[in-house]
This record gives sequence, C-alpha cells and structure tokens, in this order.
Amino acid sequence: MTKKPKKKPAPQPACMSLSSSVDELLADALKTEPGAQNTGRTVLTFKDGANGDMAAMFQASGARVADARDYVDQSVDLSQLSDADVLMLPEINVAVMTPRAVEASAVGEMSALSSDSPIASIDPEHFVHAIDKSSEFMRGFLQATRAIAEGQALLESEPDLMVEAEASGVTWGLAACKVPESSRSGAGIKVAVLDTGLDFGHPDFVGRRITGKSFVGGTEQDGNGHGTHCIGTACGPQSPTGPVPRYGIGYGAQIYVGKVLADNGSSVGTSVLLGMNWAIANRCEVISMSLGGRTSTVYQPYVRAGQRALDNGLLMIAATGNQRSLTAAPANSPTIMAVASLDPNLKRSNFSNYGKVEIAAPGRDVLSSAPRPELYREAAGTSMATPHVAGCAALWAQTDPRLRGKALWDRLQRAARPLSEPAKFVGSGLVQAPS
Amino acid sequence: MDDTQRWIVTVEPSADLADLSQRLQSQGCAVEHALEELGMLVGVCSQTMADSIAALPEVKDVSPEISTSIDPPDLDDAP
Repeated sequence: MTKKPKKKPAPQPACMSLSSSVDELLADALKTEPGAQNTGRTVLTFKDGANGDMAAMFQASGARVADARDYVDQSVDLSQLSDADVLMLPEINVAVMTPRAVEASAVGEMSALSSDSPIASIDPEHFVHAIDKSSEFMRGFLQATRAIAEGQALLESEPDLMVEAEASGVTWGLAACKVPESSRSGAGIKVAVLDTGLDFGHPDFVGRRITGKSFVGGTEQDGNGHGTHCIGTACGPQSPTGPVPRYGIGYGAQIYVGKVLADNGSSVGTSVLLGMNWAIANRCEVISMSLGGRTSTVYQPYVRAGQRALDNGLLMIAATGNQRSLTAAPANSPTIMAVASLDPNLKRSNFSNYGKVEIAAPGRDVLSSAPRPELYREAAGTSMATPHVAGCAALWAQTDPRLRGKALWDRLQRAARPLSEPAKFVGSGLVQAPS
Repeated sequence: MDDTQRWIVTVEPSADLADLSQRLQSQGCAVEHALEELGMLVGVCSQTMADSIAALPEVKDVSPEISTSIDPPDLDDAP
C-alpha cells in the first residue's frame, strides 16, 4: 500500500573509461572528493541466468559491451578496453560499468530488490587498500582489479584463524575482525541489541552499565539465550570470568537491551518497531538486530525506521537471514546495513542469505555468552555475524565523533577486508576493527 | 466477517502525529501506539479503513503488521 516510489540511488560521478589506469582513477576521484574511496565505476551483480538479458539491455542502450569469454582463458587486460563501456564477467555474474553506461542503461532506476529484477546488487567500485600503508594500497587495488578481470578469486592467502585466535586468547571471530589489535573498547558509545533480552545475572555482565526494556511483556530477562549470545559478541567483557577465550568486542560500551522477541524467539513487527523507536529515542549510536522475517519484500516501516536512525546519526545493523535466499526484512531495507555470515575459512556460510549485503562477519562456530547455568555456548547464523559488526561499529564510533550514521556505515565498508566472493554474498568484505 | 487487523501507518515528515492519531481514533481505528521517533502510528482497523487511511495526504504508507523471528540455521548443516 505504499503510495510513493522509492528514491533512486544518486548517479556516480562522471569520469574515465574501463581502460583508465589506477593513477587516472585516483586523480579523477580525488578531484571530486579528498580521500575518495570509490573509483567512479559501478559493479553490477546480476542474478543467475541473466547474463544474456543484461548484455542485450546494455547493447540496446548504446553501450559498448566487452565479454570476458571472448578472451583466451577469460584473461582480460583492462588497459586494452578503451572502446568498451561495460565488461561482462559471466562467471561471477558481474558487469563492471563506466558512468556513461550506467546513465545510458538507466540501471540506477531499476530496483535490485524486486523478485523479478535481473539485478542482485549495484555497488560502487572501491579502491582496495590496507589502511595507512600506501604500498599495500596499490597492491590491494591491483590485486582486486586483476581478480575482476580474470573472473577469479582474490589471490590472497588466508591465515589460519583458529591457530591465530588460540594464540591470542580470543575467539576466531574476534581474531578475524582484528579486535585484539584494537585499542578501542566502545567507551562512550551506546549499543542497543534488539533481541530476546539478556541474562542480567550472568557473571560476565556484573557491574556493566545496562539499560533494559521489554516490548513483548514481562521483563528483559532472556529466557531463550539468543539475545545473551548476541550481546556477548557485541559488548561482552575483555576478560571473561569463565575458562573461555575473549568473545566480546565493545567491552566499554553502554548496553541497551531491547527485548523485542519473546522467549520462543518469535515476535511481531510492532514489537520490533517499538524497540527501534526506543533505541532511537535513547540515541543509541549502534542498533543491532539479529532478527527478520522470511520474506524478501521490502517493508516500508523498516525503511523509515532505518532512515530516522541515519537522520539522527545512528546506525541500524541487521542480519541478512539464514534461508539461502534473498536478504530478508529488515536487513533488505536500503537504510539498514545488512550482514552476511562467514565460516572460519572466510568463505560465506552456506546458509547465509544474499543479494543486498553490505558487509560480512564471522557467523559459524561462534562462542559467546549463554544464560546461566550454561554460561557459554557456540552458535551459528547471520544472527551471530551481526553483533560482530555492531561491536566493531562501536569501536569505530569511539575513534571519531563524526563517525555516526551513514558516515559510520561508509567507514565500516571502507575498512572491510576484501574477500574472494562476489559482493552479493559478502558485500564489501570482512568487518575490521580500528587499530 | 471481521477483517480487522493491526496496521503500521507511516506518516509524512511534516504531519502532526498526535492530530492524525486523534482523527483516526474518531473514525474508528483503535490506535495503540504513536512512535514519535519513527513517525508512525500502530492501530487496529479493517482493510477498508486502512485503504482510506492510505489515501490521506499526510500518510506515506500503510502496511500490515508482519511476524518476526530469529530463525536460526540448521546447526547440523555442514559448512
């Protein structure tokens, strides 16, 4: 019953061709915005089987289309593509587009969220770099462009995260997110977790500043365990009281427990909206939601809620869902950051939803807090990935008071570690904590 | 047949939430919550009344309430 069409994404800044060198891309980008992170080109991910239709649509719009399959071993040299506006990479369902092609084909006007759309996602192409290391900046970028051109996975070698984690006394998820190396605790930042509540008597949370509110009747005490687990990852202690590795990220953050799910793990949208309203009213800079429905239809009330959060300098973060299907509400809202799940080998978890994905985080074999008497347990799901992002968001928010709302969203994506899988599965990559 | 259900009414940013809430109440919509931060009303009424609410100029969207869950994956699912 929505009355007005959604606003379309803003057009990309005009610049270059597909054959532009890294130097040219950087020069163009920096003219537009100091510290720019986007190249100006667009990466469009299309759905399985849509390659032919997409290529035909681009050609009909007057764009000049190159196809990786026309090259030996699909090894494309971008510098030789001066005549092309679009490079089709059918192996990974991706088209790299110049601003001219984006404008001519009007893909920005096409919804990536409707079920009949051939488009899974439309993202700006980013420069890829290691923070504050200029040599790695160039190496990362060249690696990424080579991978795109060749239709292959990034050539990085993955460290053994389990070994690394054991050595540093943290969970594999915290090691992967570089949390132990961070000097931040989330102090001064309010993190709301809208879930099944918290075991307020858990020894790891004694002495913490916690505010609670139930929107499903009763108290905020967690009779399920899901909420206690999520809060543990996002805001758990630096040194757990039990014989387990560190599992919490924002140990200095102020915790807001919004119980919007009953102890059976279910609820209705109104309770979630009440919790969102409460978290915004309390100006919680980070609002974590490991919940969702089974539909991939965009739900306008969630879109508004996410926008109101951003308008107030707050960031809503939500799980994509665990059905191996398109991202569910509320994470599919364009105003809410969607989190996918990764396995310890940094490949996407096979249950993780896809399509609208902004970022990815550890979501399998995740150890965190559990209600007494159990105290600790392992769990899996995009529910477990989401509080990794929320915790890291709190750390980033502590580093700079300007990192709020959309600026925080952008910072998380820019700092993410690129992964070898398409953006429709892992977004910008693995969330990383600040140093 | 009783076709009443709960609806989420999202209003335009310039709308007066309290005023709209009163008007909907007077027309028979049982308004349960006014979410000031979100610019929304939650109320119970019929589909017909929801349609008429959606036609008001200060209303952006009227959506039925949906269910929500944590929906965990099958934990026996191999990586």
